[in-house]
Amino acid sequence: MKKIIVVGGGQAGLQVCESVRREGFDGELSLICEEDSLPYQRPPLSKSFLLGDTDMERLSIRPPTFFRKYEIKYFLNTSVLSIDRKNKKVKLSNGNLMSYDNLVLTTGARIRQLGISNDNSKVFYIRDVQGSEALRSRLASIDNIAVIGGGFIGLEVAAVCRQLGKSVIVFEQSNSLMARGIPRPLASYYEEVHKEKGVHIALETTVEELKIDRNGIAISFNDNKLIVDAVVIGIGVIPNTELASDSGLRCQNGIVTDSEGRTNDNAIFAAGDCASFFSEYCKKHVRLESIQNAVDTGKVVAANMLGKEKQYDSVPWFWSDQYDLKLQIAGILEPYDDVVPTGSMQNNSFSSYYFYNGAHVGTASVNKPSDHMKSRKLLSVGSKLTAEVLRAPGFDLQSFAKEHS
Amino acid sequence: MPKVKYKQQGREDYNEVDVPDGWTVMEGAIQNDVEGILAECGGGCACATCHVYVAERFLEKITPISDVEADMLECVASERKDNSRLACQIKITEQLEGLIVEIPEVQI
Repeated sequence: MKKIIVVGGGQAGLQVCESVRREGFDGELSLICEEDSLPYQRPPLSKSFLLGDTDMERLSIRPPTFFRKYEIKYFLNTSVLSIDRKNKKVKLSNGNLMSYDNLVLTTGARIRQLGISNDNSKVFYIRDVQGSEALRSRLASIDNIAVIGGGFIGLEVAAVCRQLGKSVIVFEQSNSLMARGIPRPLASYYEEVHKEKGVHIALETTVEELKIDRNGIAISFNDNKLIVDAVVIGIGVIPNTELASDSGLRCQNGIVTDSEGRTNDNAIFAAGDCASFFSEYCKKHVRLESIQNAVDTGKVVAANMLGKEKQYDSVPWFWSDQYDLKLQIAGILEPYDDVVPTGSMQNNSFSSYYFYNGAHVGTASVNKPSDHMKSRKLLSVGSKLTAEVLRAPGFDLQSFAKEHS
Repeated sequence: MPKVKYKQQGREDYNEVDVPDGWTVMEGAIQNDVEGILAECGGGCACATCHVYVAERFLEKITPISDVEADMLECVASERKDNSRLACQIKITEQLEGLIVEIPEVQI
């Protein structure tokens, strides 16, 4: 009987399992999870979970009955120590050896740490449910909080903390918020929103030292000092590639795969945050950290393991919730040479359409999910939208999208 | 705990599930293995893959449609009807005991 082992119990690993079963795989299927829980949703960890609007039970992506129904054998609190590619076996942390016909690496990414004392009653990282729970359970006794890193996670946490009435300061090294994800004008809009809500934003500011004492944490920056009750660090992640590279698989900012998710070993695939996947849509290798990427690369890998030749050609998309603003990005926004705004920034409901060399490359929407959905549809078939068409009076995206997708 | 009936469009049988107060209709489906509600975005009102048709008599007992949900309902894959809602935006309360929702055949 054919055996598939999936290493890593996150969104991508679960998707691979679900998809191979839905595609008709009837062999042995195992999911190795390092954490002590079945796969759960991570996006709420910096949003509704932190705010106290939801709990762990509601975060699981699939209930235990699902794993029984689809005969997915799962191992919690277990990691893979090494891969014996020649004999197609993996060695588990519990000492067992397991053999495979196909191996899928969905090992995810780990948080980038700041090299300081990790007093986990005052310094928090939001990557897993424990990290988010640690902060959530102490929020009641925290008045002042500093967020290091002005990316999506940091700003989502800042928004939640402001909503709960905390005093919040965000430190960001670069000269713009969310610099890695969105263009400058949109970042400036978000900077204004946070400032209006009362968040202090310190751009181009490097935190030099954190000193923890009984009264809180002293933060040193630009010859200044600030004492806060707690610090949240959100400075990005590092892909978990060690298992792959130790066994001779090619890694470069992620485990390198072709557009079918295959590594340089034909029996081994990779998907999700840990993979540098060849994207037919982007025409290059990309390593994306998003639900969309985890789900779609998971589906691609599942299909290809069963010989169904499927390529990764999805339009990248992701979202961020801050206050009552839903930011949604479809496509790749940069580089661009023209941008057309629609809607009303003042009313916090607008979209920006990005163009490069005349072609529509991406759309960023705030509280305009239908613009986002239509843009995704358009981009998936090679968007025919032009700046000229969009600027024409009376333009209607709904009918344009119907006609062109 | 209110009971919710999930009916698949074009089929007579249904799943009857106890959904805790405060949960959403989407969560009730996902955590009980009800098929047909995809919820790709995990309940963020961001993907329109948890579209359901709500039985008429419950419509006025449900929290009204927000601007964002209304906007999103424009993008559902199956026919948008007067009783269309996104299951992730329907919070269960005691008043919704016996709620019946119909799940359309396609979500993508």
